[in-house]
Amino acid sequence: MVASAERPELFSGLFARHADPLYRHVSRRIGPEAAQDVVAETFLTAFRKRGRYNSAYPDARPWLYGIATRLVARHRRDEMTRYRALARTQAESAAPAADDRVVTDLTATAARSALAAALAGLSAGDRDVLLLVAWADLTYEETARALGIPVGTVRSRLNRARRKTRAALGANPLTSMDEE
Amino acid sequence: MDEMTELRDLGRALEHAPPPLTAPEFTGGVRRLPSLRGWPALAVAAAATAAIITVPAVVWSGGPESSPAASAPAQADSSAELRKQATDPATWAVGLSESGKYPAITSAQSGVDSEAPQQWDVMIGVYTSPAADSDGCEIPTDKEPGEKPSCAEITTKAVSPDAEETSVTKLLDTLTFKAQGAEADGSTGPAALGTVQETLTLRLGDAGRRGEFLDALAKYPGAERDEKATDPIGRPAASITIPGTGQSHWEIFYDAATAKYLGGRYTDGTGKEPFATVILDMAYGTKGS
Repeated sequence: MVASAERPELFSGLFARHADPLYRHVSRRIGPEAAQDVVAETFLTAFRKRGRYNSAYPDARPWLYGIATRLVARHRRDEMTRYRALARTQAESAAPAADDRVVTDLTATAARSALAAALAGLSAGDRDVLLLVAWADLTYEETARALGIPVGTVRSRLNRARRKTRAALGANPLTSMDEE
Repeated sequence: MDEMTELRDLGRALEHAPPPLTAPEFTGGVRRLPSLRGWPALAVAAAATAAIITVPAVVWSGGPESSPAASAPAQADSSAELRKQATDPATWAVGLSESGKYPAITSAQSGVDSEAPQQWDVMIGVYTSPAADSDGCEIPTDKEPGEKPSCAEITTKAVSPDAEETSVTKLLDTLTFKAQGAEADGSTGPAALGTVQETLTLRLGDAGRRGEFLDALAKYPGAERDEKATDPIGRPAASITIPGTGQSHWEIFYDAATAKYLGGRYTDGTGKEPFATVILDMAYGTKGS
C-alpha cells in the first residue's frame, strides 16, 4: 500500500460537515451573498493553516468560527448597515394596535429592532463574543479558542454585551411591556 | 424572555438557508510545523515514544509513579512480546473501579517493560500535539474529569462516561487534522492510532456508536476494511487499515459483532518492528454514576 504523504482531499470531509452551519451563522451577520464568500475563504484559510492546527482539540468548530469571525470583520460596514436597517425598518413598522396577536408581534418586532440597534452599538470584540455564544452556541472556552483570547476576557466581554443588550430591550416600551 | 433568548430569535430571523455550497479545491502541501529534525536524537526518540504511548496514557489507580507513559521504546518482535504478556487469559478479567464510573481495562503493549498484562481502572487520555516538546510538560495525574493540564501543549481528555457525548463528527475532525497536520513531524500514525484507541476504549461505550465510528473510519480515504483479520496476539478480528505517511500504516482491530476495540498496530514502513497494543479485557463505566 502506497500512501500519499499529504492527503488534502481529506479536507473535503471537514467542509461537508461544517460548511452549512457556518454559512447559516455568517449569513446572520452579513447576509447571504457575502456569507458565501466568507465561508469559502474560511475553508481555504483553514486548509492553508491546517498544519498549525492543534490536534489536541477534537472539535474543529471553534477554529473555523474563529477564522470566519476574522473574515466577517472585513465586512464590518455591511454588517452595521444590516443591523441599522433592521432597527430602522422594524421600528417604523411598529404601529399601535389593539389586537392581542398583533401586540405580541409588535412586541417581538420591537425587541428585534432594539436588539439590532444594540448590536450595531457594541464594540467589535464584544459583538464577536456575544454572537459566537448566542448564535454559534460555542461555549466560553470554545469562544476563547476561536478568538485567541483568555476565557476571562470572554466572560467580561459577554457580560458587558449582555448588559447593553438588556438595557436596550428594557428601554423599549414595547419590550419592557412584555415583562410586566 | 431574557436578552439571550431574544437574541437567538433574532438570529433565526436573520438566517439564510445555505445554497448548495461547493467545496473549494483543496490542493497543496501542508505548511510545516517546526520540524523535529535537528533536535538531539534523544529528544526525538522521547517525543516519538510519548506520542505513541501516551495516547491514551494510562494512570494506575495507585498513583502516577506506576504510569507506563515512561516505558521503554518498542523492542524487537512486538508480536511475540505481546503474546508472552497475554499468555494467561485468567488474569485478563477486569471489574469496574470502586465508583463504577470509569472504564476499566487490562491491556498489553509492545515496548512496555513488563511481561504482565496491565490493569487500570482510571484512565486519562493525553493527546500530544505535533509540536509538543517531551520536556517540561508533566502528564496530568488528576482523576477528575475536566482538569486542565499544566502545559499548553498537552490537553487531557478526562475519561468518564460523560465523554460518550462526543460526536462522531468531532472525532472525524480530529482524525482529519491528525492525518494532515501531524504528518509534519512524522507522527501521524501513532497520533491517529492513539485517537482511535481513545475513542473506542474510552469515549464510545455504546456498541452502536462504536460501530458508527468504525463505519466512518472505514470510509476514510485510503482505508481498507478486512472482516477476516487477526489481531496482534492471534485473535480473530475485523480490521481497518489506514495509510499514513509514506509507507507507514496503522491497523485497528475490533470485534465485528460488538465493535469492541481489540487493539492497534502501527507500522512505520522503515522495516522496524511495528508498535502494537492489545486490549485483553475491558469494562465500560456507568454513565452518570
